[in-house]
Amino acid sequence: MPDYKMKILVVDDFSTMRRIVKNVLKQLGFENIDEAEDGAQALAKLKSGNYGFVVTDWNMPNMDGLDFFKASRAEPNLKELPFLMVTAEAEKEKVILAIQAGVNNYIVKPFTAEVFKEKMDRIFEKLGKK
Amino acid sequence: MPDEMEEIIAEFITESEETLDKIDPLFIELEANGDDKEILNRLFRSVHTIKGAAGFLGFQSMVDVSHSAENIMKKLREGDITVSRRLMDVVLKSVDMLRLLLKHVKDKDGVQENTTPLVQELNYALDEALAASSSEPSSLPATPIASAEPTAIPIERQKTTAATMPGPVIPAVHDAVAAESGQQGETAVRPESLQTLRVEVNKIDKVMDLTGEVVLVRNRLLNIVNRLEHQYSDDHDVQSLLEAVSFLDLITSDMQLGVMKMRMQPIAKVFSKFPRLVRDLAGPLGKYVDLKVAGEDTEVDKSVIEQIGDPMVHIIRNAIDHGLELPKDRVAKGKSEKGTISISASQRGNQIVVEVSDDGRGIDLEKVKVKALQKKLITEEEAIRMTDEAAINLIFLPGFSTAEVATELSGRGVGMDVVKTNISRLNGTVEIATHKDKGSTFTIHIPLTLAIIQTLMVRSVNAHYAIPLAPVEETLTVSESDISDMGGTKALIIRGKVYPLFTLSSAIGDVRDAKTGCKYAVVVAIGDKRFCIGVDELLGQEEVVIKTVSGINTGSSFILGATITGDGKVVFILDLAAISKNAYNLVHVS
Repeated sequence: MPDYKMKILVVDDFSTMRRIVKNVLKQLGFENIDEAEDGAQALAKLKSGNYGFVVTDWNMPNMDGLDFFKASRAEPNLKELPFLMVTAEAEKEKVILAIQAGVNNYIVKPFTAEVFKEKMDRIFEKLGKK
Repeated sequence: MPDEMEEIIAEFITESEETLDKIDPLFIELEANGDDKEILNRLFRSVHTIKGAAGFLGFQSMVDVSHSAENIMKKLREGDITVSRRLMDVVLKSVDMLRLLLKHVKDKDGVQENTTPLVQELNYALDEALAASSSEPSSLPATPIASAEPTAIPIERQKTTAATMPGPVIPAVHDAVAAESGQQGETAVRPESLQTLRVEVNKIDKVMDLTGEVVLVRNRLLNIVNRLEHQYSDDHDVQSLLEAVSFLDLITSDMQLGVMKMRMQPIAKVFSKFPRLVRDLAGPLGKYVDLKVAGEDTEVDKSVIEQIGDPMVHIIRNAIDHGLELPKDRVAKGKSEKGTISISASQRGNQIVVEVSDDGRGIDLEKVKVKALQKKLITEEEAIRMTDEAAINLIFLPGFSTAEVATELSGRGVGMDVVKTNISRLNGTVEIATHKDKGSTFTIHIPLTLAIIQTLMVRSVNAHYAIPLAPVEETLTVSESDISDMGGTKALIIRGKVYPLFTLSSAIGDVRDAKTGCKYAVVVAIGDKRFCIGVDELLGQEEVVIKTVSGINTGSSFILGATITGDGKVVFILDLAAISKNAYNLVHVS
């Protein structure tokens, strides 16, 4: 079970999308939510703050979601941080790329709070088993 | 939750509109530069993002349109097809459709657009482009030769697909690996991006309004304190009060400036629409136009953003329609085939200066005069006596339009008079400079803020008025003997030049006291017209906050608005542009 008090970072360049994702997270009972506009900003935030979970969009300027994920994994203290990647549609090549890179899970837009919860639960279940 | 939903939708509309505004000029750039990867990426990302958010909010038609447009962007990005006018036309159509769909959501009008034909057109255009590039991997343009459209777009950058097919993904991975050591240091130093907050305009306007009230109270206080100081200059308390009020004075000015800045936005918001406009206008006319834009970072008041668009569109339209010559005519004149339209904005002191110039044929003043004569806007005698300056300004008269044929562009039933009207509404002025075969320049001056203006307080008979200070050139003391009579019109001769003189009461049509005498003359310049307004007393300069007066149609009166002065009086602020118009009509009558 995820910790409802943990700090979550929502990364998307479109502020409406950040708000939608935040809304979903709030519906699920999470309170401590921070945002970043792109991978570069998000990475800087991750380095300086104690985050428990990241929801990131794929398509972003400056540093896209996958690059951001890889850069985070290269940081010793961010190696274990769970990432949920948001993609616009189930593009096979993309999903494969994401999984190959080691993203914990991915979710396809548009999603409901229920689907989001499922994905999140699965991530934390797996982490718990480790 | 419904409120939250409504807020999200409102944010979605604003953000999507902003995104579309930003990408509009990119399409034009793309068309000019061929396949620029960075631009293609940005376009793709923007359309993709809107699609994603629209999906959440259940705007299916937006999803459909952006999905098909995105497919084209994707294939362009991957190099499977190349940029062509035909493709850009349909993609731009989809941007327009997205705008329209957003507008329906915003207006909550429930109108359902049928997007199926557009989606089909987009898909068809993509198939066509794909087929063309697979059957002809050479460097030949993919556009059918039989097409009636002028295709001036460079297509030679078409790629031989087999050689350059690494796809965008692999270099991205390389980048990421390379970035691990280098870029991380860089991102750490990257300055925290500016924190922004979306605030509803009416909240800012409320603060603006209240600031206006504070300014009025400050003015009154200053007035009272000045009187007190005269009477009780030794009183310690009065001195303290004076100190406190001067401090308030300073803070109020800063506050005014601060609020004003909150409402300011870069003029790029308006300028970004022009590349598309120029493209769409020039194409069908068979003209080639290079648009140069400068100073788009200049910040102007929100109301300027809202109102300067139309006049500028009109000026640009005219420049393309009438100003710029056809390529062959330009070559015959020894000019480059491509015409140039330059747009710029800058701040000079308290004014924003916006310029639109073209390097076309210039305005033919004789033609303008003939046209004005035909339309009975001027008399033959006037036409002969008219200065060049006055002749150019004829194009601003209502009912004047040089378009011989109502083309698609100028056929909206509005003339250049709209330009003048809209700009006067912003308390601005517009001037034209034109040279035969060199081109024309329209220069628009607009005050930085519209809510607060410097005025000259005057008295005419027993009413006080505020005259906006910007067009005031000087004030003079006059005696009866200074006033000359020029065939029924009163005039003043100042340094050898003749200026018509109207008393304030006659100029605004106050018939209660149509006297002709006055003690002071205020010399005013509106456009190329200079005239004197006769008043009984000059009361001094005052910064006033314009308040609109309900019940007065500012379009048809001589009143811009009203204000409350330092001594608590309600005073009308005069609309000099309207007075100038009316005063010159009076001259014609007499």
